[in-house]
Amino acid sequence: MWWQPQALPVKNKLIPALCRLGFWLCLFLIIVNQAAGQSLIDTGKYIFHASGGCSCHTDTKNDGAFLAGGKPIKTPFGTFYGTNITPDPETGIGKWSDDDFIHAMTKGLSPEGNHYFPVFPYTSFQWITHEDLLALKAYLSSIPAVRQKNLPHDLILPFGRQAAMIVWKNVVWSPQPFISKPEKSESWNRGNYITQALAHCGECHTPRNLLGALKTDMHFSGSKEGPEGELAPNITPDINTGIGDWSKVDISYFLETGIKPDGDDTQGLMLEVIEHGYQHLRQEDLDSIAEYLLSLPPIINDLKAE
Amino acid sequence: MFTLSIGRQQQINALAGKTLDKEESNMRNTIIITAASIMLLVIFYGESSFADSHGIIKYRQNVMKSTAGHMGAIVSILKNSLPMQAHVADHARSMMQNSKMTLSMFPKGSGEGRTKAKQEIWGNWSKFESAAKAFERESAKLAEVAESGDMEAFAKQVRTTAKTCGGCHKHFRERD
Repeated sequence: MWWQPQALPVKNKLIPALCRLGFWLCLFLIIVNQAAGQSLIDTGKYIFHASGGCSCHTDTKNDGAFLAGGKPIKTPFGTFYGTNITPDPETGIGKWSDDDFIHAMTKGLSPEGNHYFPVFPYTSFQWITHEDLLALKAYLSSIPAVRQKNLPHDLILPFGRQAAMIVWKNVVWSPQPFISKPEKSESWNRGNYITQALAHCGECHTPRNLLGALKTDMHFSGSKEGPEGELAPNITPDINTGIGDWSKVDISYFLETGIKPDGDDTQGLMLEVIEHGYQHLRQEDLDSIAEYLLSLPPIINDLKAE
Repeated sequence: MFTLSIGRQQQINALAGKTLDKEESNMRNTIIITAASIMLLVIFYGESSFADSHGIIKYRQNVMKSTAGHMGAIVSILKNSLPMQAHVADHARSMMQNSKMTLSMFPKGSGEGRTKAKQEIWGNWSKFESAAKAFERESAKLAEVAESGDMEAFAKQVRTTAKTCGGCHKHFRERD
């Protein structure tokens, strides 16, 4: 018979050889592909940590499921509830395309075209590179999906919210391009990017005006009305009212452990973003944040004074 | 005060003769005197508890500050690699000794006054107690590891111990 080895010795050797080659090639490609996917997830996980572990989306106080939302965030405009960002297709963001995700993070738009309130800090996330955003999305897609409906926000503005948000976005918010300074060191620029874009420090540590826009001239000088109605301290290097007497290593050790230079510990949302995020950052990234913060112009803003 | 009022009653009884009317009025006097004594006691006790809690609050703030001071000293040595590594065991031992004082520094009623201690401490004492015990346990371990001289293990234990500070501070300490 033709398929018998004895009849066609040349093909007999060639076909199995090709098959074998094909098999190994497929296996190789699958592994490479998997590895690339895995490394994208790992990169995304690092971005996730640098953004403070998206702590507003986990209701830690009530042992809520990881990133499934429900955490109350008290603001002068009412109480917002963190949303479900697990890959559940119905209640989470499982159905979102890459473009949906990028739009939400940089423009504050839902896939349906609704405007998000700036309590979701797209005003900072707009500066994250698309590459980092896609990695973050890959990581968020890899976590367990949790079916949990989002809670409606409890706000002082009872109606016309979308219209108000359109006005807010176009009139109140003036998005600035991200400014990198090539004349500064690489680590300074890295610190600038992490602090402003990923870790979105300014969202809590900068005071807001009556319309909820950040007062840019008071950047990082602290806010009496931080999230959860708590005070967010002045993190400019002013010696008396800020962190001017902290050294670089004081800052990086604090971001890693939550222990202040005086031996006291931090609590509240700051502890959560450290525990679920910043403590996992590489030493050089923590140092770059410290370098950047200490290079800022000191602003006198005594938050404890009445 | 009670003994005084009873004494007074006996005195009044002795003076009052034996008629029924007088005994009734004696009874009334006794009741009035006893009530007044109780009021005095309440006022006196109230005042003394305020004075006590003021002292206790200051005392425990000082102990807490000294604990934070030792913690701060330890992390200063660690993060700046200061040539004072020989000191860490002493600091750790002091922390461990302070940690044993925690529970006794929070007697009932010591939440009144200028303090960041929340009332929940006494409302949920068992949770407070177990958080304080965790700090005690980890501080003891810290002192032990410090003694061993293994700085890497020590640095790790510093973080573990620091986390137990939050066990109480998270739920039971008012924020700034």
